[in-house]
Amino acid sequence: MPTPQILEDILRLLLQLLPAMALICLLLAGLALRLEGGSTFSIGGGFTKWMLWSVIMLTLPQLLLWSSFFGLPVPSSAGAIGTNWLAGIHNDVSVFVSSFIVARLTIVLAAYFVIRAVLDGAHGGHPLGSIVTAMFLLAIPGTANLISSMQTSSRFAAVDVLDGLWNYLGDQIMPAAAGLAVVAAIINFVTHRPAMRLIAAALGFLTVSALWRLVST
Amino acid sequence: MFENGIVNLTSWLGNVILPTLSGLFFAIALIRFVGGGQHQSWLYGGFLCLMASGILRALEGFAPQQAWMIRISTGRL
Repeated sequence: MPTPQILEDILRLLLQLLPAMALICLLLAGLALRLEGGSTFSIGGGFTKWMLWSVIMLTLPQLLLWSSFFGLPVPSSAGAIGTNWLAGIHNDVSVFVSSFIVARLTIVLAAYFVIRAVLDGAHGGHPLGSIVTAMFLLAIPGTANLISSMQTSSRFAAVDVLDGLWNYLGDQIMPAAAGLAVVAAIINFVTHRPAMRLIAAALGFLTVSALWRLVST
Repeated sequence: MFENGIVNLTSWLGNVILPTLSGLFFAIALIRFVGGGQHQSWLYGGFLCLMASGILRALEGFAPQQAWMIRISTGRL
């Protein structure tokens, strides 16, 4: 018995909305990042949860290959949505997410976090957390493209993306974080606050891959 | 890209803010020296501000660049 057209179209709708849902997950990850400190995150907290969900959203078609691997065929989801009103829903949701949430709302939220950074500094706190969160929010489209470029067409795409994100963190972000740690160490030295732990942190940021190798071998 | 934001923030702090702070710290050190106060830490701070890039390069010297090429999935270079 063939699958009804409406069910196939609903499946196509859900799968084709996954990239838009991934953008929303990244937005929620940015908000969770600030709640967890901004310059760090909690293991098992909101940031890791929403980042994992964004990766799953972008790699779900490849994850479904596991069903075929286990001998459970998955209906083909390629092609356009045949039912007009379902195609309309797809178009409307995609436009809403890209033009309202990503193009406007995240920019405004990032601007609010810049104000929060100034207020943090005024209250004697550290502005870096809010600044990093603002940068993360502004980079949501770039992060989504980065995750998409890391995925492979195999059923291991999700872990390939997580692998790629770890390498991106170690290769690109950590050296810049080491520079920030050196700047903070100098300022702490002048203001008679503990500075050596920041120098040690900079060294750790620069050697994170070597530390991984030390642990894994 | 998030990476661009972090790198630009670090460059701005290292190339704009720290040299400015260096001048400020030297001025404070001079004023405190004339007034007979403790001035060494301000002087050292001024020099450290100018040496931030060099300190980072020195720390990078302890981290061989080939280590970055490790893939965590394989553990090989």
